[in-house]
Amino acid sequence: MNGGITVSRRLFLGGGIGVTGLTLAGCGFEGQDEPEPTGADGAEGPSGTMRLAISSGSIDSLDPHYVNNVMLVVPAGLLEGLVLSNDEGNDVVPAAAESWEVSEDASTYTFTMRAGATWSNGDPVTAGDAEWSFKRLLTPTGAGTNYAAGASSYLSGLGIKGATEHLSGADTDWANVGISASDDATLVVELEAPNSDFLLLMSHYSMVLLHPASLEAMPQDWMQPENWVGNGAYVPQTWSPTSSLKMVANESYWDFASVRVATIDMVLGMDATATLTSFNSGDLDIVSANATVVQQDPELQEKIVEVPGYGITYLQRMWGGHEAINDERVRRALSMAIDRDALAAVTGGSEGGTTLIPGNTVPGWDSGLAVAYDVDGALALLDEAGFGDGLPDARLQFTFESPWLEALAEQWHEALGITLHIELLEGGVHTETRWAPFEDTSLMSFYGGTFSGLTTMSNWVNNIFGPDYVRQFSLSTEDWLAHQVIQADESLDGAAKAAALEESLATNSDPRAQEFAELAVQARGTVDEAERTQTFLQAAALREEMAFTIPLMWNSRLFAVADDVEGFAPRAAPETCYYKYLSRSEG
Amino acid sequence: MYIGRRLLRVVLCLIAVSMLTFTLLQLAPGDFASIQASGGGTVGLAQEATSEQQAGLAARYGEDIPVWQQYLKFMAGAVTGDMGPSYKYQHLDVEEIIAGAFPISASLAVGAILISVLVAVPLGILAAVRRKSVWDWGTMFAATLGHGLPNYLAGLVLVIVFSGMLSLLPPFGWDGPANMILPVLALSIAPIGVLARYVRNSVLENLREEYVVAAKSKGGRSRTIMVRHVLRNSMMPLVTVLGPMFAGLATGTIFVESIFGVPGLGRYFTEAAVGRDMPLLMGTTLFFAALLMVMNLVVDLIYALLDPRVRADLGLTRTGEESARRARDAGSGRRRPVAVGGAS
Repeated sequence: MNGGITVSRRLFLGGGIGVTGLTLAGCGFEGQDEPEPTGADGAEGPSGTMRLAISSGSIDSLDPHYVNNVMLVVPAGLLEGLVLSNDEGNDVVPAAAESWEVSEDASTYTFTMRAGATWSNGDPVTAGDAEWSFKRLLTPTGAGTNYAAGASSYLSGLGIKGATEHLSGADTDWANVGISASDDATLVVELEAPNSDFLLLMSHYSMVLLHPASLEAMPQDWMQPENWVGNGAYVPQTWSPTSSLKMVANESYWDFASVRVATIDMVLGMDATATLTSFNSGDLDIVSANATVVQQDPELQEKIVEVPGYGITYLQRMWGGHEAINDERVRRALSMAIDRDALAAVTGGSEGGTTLIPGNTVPGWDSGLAVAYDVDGALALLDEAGFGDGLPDARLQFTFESPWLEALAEQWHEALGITLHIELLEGGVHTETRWAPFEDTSLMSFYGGTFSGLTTMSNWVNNIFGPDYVRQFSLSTEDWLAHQVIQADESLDGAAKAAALEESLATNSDPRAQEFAELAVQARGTVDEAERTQTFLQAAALREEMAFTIPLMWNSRLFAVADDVEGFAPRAAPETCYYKYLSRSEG
Repeated sequence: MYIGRRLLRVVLCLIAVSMLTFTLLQLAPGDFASIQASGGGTVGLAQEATSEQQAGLAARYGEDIPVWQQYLKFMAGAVTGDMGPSYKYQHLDVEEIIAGAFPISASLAVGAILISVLVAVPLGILAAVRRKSVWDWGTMFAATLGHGLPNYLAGLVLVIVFSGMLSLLPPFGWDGPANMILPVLALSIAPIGVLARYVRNSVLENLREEYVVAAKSKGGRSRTIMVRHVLRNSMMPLVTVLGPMFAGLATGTIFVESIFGVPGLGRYFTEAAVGRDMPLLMGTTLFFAALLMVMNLVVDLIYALLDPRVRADLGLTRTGEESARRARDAGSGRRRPVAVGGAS
């Protein structure tokens, strides 16, 4: 039969080699390690590689004003703020600023920039750089970033004069914001009122410094490794957002002499089983560990480092649904009927969370805030509320399977006789529905969530489940819908909208939510420590009493750490530790 | 003409795919900003954003113009190779992501296809020529097992054995060719199962053909008949399978990429879908669709090249007048075209 072609051996072999060559050429391997850096005086510098796998997700961006896994790595070694946290996470140590002075009224901080500190390209790190970075963060449109609003949402806790107004667009004049560089070496930050947590909050990842010239010259490409200019202990060498970020020691770093590891290799999005296998075989040095796996592996338990109080798992009452949920006694009864220690036991890696403040780590916490597990008390409250004959069933929406969901359903069924319908929703569906009034009026509706943050009282009262959050969730369904209309009103400018929203909350929220908001702000500005703590506790007690948000567990983070790793001092912070302190034991 | 028609059909299909994808994205609950806010653990941009913030974000994400204009703008970008930055990976344009990650996924796919063919063809032939023997049953049992084994599970087993127990190969990363071995093996297990069964059935079918009986009756040696005739004809259907198989492997390696830390396109695609990253999702979907269609077209053309019957069906054979002219040309001493019988 004619018309075909013959595949000769030569053609076959040639084609095979060609395909193989093309295949390897197209692979784009990320390359081998570069020579290890040495000290400026030629002394022995950092050496070796340390591999970490502490994020199951990708690192989408290295922009610290972008809320994502950037928070895991940028403050850990790539960019440095004025201060760093100490190992315990309860105080700060100098970083880009070598010292600071606090005014007598404790409302003005004057930072002196570190003499001789430079960016990785040799430019000096100046107070002007710091002001530029903070201005970028507080710019309402997120100019230069894709998503500034997320990171800047943490800022209200700092209480910087005029910052909230500038961010909201109510005041567009930067001169009214209490951040100014008086010269290259001096940055002055004015607060609205004294804030004892201010310095610690300045160690937050969003407060690191950026190199203005790079960002202005390359608005999109500045974070590519080849363009990177940073002031941290490391600079990125290669970066594949979904799989790895390799960082090498920055020879221009002011504290380069303390850096012991030449390359930090952050593996991203790795499967949990593969991670553990690689850890056990010595390919990984520090990995996140799953609590359930740890419980079943005695050998692994010996290598586990636990960071308690990293965050909280909670239930949030949704708007709409059965009206019973609007009765505070019902919400409190539901909360009292939860055996939180049992939830924590089945989940692992956590402990019973009896308040919205992680009491196991936040200084000043008082056990008097704690919700007791008291089924009889819960039934008595329901009886008082007119639900002695039984409550309507409930539903709970969440985004992934977890043992506590079924455990909670069992507990409520046994204690109160109600059925909890658990709905696991895709992320987008959950996001779209969680703040929309639930339409089925036969069920009380909740969603589940987690929060994490710095372990200070101010942070857990002012920032997380803070004044606006609590006041919003205390609104009736009708008032919430009206509030949303104001939010969506494009005819209002920044100042007018901010005023209208505040009016809406101040007028329509639960009076105790309003009281909570006022106490929270008052506490932040209180100089006397004992008095401040007392006021915070008073505010927190009101928040627990209203029970719009019900605490479930205080979550820990678990890390498996290789035996020869030293200097790993994890804190309850997103970055976990600073890479500059990591080293390997000799031998 | 045929190729022109097929290309036109590809273009129309891509337009349909783009419209469908864009529409579904518009209908899908949640948007990029709110999902980011939710995932980031913030109190929530959607609730707290001021009008300035919302306007800035809308402009940045191209949502400050009507939806139909957004679609047209993206498609214009897709045609000119400028699809703009991803929402999620803000430092990268969509085309940069595809250009950087696809070759990696494709290299794994090529490797997996090569391994699959090299293993599956002998296995399939062995099963066919030793039909109803222990070789046949054993091979087909293994093939079925391989076909049913998820590459996710295969990947984990490979990591545990070759990295964990034997410490022979790196379990993750993308630093050099050694990093390719385990992912390629994980990806090739299921295709080996599919191809081995395919080859076996094809060989068996050809063994029953009359031309084999005729060759045998003429005294042809079994080995010659098998190698020169049966195998050559049996391999033809493989071409049909390999094209789409390549497209499937090159676009669907998300689990394997995750296990082995491979920076391929599959993970970008998945994360774009989860995070409602419109430009990246649109870009990768269009790319995948185009790849599949092009691979199908290539397969059809290769098939036509190899089999004149297909060529005739597709209207790609020469007309009688052309044939006569070529015969005259040949008679007048012009170079004869290379035409060799494939399957006879």
